[in-house]
Amino acid sequence: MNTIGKFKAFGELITNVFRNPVTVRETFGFVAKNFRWMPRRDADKCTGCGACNERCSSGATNITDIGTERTISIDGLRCIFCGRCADVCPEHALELTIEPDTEEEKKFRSELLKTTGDVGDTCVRSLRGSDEDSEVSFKYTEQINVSYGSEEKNPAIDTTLKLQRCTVCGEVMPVTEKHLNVIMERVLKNLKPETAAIVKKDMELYLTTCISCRRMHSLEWNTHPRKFT
Amino acid sequence: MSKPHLNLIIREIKADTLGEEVSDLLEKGARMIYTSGVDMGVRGIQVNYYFCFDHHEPSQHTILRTYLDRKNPVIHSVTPVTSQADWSERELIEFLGITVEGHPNPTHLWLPLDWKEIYTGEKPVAHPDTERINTAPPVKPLKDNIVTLPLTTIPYGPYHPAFIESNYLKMSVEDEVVRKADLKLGFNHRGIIKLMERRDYYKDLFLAERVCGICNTHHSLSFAMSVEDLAAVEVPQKAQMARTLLCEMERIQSHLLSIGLIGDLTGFRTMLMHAIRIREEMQDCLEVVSGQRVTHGLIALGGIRRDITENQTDFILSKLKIMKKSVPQFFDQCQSNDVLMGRLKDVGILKRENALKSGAIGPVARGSGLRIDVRKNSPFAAYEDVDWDIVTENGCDCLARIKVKMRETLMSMHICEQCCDKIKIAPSSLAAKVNELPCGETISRSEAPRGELLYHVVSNGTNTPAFVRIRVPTFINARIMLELIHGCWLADVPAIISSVDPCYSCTDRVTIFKGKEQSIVDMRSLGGRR
Repeated sequence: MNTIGKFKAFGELITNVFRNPVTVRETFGFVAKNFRWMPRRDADKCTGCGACNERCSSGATNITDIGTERTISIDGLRCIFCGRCADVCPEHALELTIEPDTEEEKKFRSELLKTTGDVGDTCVRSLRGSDEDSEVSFKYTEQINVSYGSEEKNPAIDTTLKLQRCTVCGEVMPVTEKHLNVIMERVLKNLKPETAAIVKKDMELYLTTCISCRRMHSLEWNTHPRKFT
Repeated sequence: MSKPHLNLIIREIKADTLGEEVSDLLEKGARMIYTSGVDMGVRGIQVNYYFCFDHHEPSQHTILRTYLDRKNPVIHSVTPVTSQADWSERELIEFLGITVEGHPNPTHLWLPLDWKEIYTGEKPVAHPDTERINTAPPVKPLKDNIVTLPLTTIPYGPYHPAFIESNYLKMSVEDEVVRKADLKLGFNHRGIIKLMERRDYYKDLFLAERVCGICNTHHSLSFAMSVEDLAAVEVPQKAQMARTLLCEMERIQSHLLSIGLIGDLTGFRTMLMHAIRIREEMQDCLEVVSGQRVTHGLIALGGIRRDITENQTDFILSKLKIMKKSVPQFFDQCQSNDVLMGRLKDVGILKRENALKSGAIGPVARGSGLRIDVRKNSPFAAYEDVDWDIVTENGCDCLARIKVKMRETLMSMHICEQCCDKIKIAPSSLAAKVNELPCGETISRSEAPRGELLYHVVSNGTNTPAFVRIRVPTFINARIMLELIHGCWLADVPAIISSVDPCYSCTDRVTIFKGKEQSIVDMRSLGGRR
């Protein structure tokens, strides 16, 4: 067995001469579908509820209330790419995929898919060997560098949302206006339209009141006659 | 699928009767796993002794528990009875200040030798004129039992090619025979256990994953298993299968790397390159399944986070087909190399009785002919539903340990194939919901590539655990490695180290240390030689 093994080892050495390089640059070599990269927040969808901030295991997300505005940001350097924020976000505003953002990138990505072929839905297959492929992949990395690596563009993209003011006492509440609107819409959607019309006023009053005012007026509001049909 | 039930008996005893109780349990055939200490406040310092009987009866565990006085914590050592308690008791001495009477070698293992001066001594004062602080190391020579020996001392580390991670191995050498060896750890200490106490369970899962890079799934899996046990949640079948698959894939890549490293350390670097080439196929699989190459983040409390689709399992199967050709071929080539085999054969012999006595685990135990494997002894995930068997070798030397790893790689590939087939037909629910965590405590064990892993999680009903204690495989095996190094040739030391395959960054996180604000450790003071 020993001598046979030696011959095998020699054969391995010869095949090694003609073998393509095993290691390739990570950004274009092999991109899996589940690959988690920089979290991207859809500013239109984000309501500033703070769910991601509560669950983030590395403290990468930041929520700061200054005056009447709330700023939500993600620190790209602290992020460990676990993807928990994306799991937890009730609005599905966060995403940790390598999916392209800009139009140019999207176009480029589709071209890349055409040239390399897609293995099911699992991955974009690696680019090894010929010169054309390496050119394409070089372009791809360049694109990514433009969108992520450059110093001008901070990876932490901030969004600012307005905070709600208490309708009774006028103080700033630690909730954004958008968040309350979304909650209200979601609750009213499940009700009958007649009921919703009645409940809406009460809900609006209840949601847009700060906790201390709620306590003060709770007796009054609880005895308020309601008619449900 | 019936979940294997973990039998855990917790017995509270008095500190005086500890020695008798421990020897009583050991006579019954128990293995001592670990000793942990927790400061419980008013109740005193809680000391737990973990025993398992699972190589005789499945899933049998016992914890002996005593409470010590906080002001004067004294306990009688059980190290003379069983050497398995050696390092755990040294840990108690260092991090909880417990006086362990009758310990044969109560020296520092994690903390620097002059830590008392660093942390309790005066702060260095700036010079009034130059405003400079004297940062020179203390003049007083440090106590170190090895340096005082009339022999030549050879240091390995803290940064040495024979170690992948930073630690410090000091050997006293007579001619070329190692007479005494001691290890100093603590360079990678991150205080993860302490950090776990103030984060909620979901965050702890990711923290546990970062204890070790190469066996991260096993860490997060054992943490998740213990939490599921606390919450009494049944994990869905698909999740169990996916966990098994992920664990085995990780075992394949870890074993391939460690086999390659043996070649590297014994002067056969080509072997490492080939091992890494073959391992790359497995890394691709892991990336496709989990999205990431190293920290996978696929395990959630109650199941798994993302689905494993049919396309992904097909991808794994196709890769396994390639590996089924290349891996045995690679192993053949390694074993046909006379130089490598000569360096490994009859080196670092750990006899069967010694392995049992010193509590060896993982491939080290299996290389000595012991049938110790958590996957069979107290099955977790879906190992009961898969066809496989424990791999053992009777060589007792470095070569046997490597052969165990080689055959285990092939066995893992066999398990992976079965898992891939079974995931396809499993019902599609991914995770059970963990609603409430009542007060209580459990231990959970799993078989990491290097040996068994122990998690002890105690819940106090809040969203954070009361405390977590982790015992990693290297904690036991590194001590055995030191025993093996005693009396061997200096040139054989890298071979022994690589065959045991220690992972120090796992071991260093065990420590619980609440330092003061000043946390500067003079690296040079650790050596004790100037």
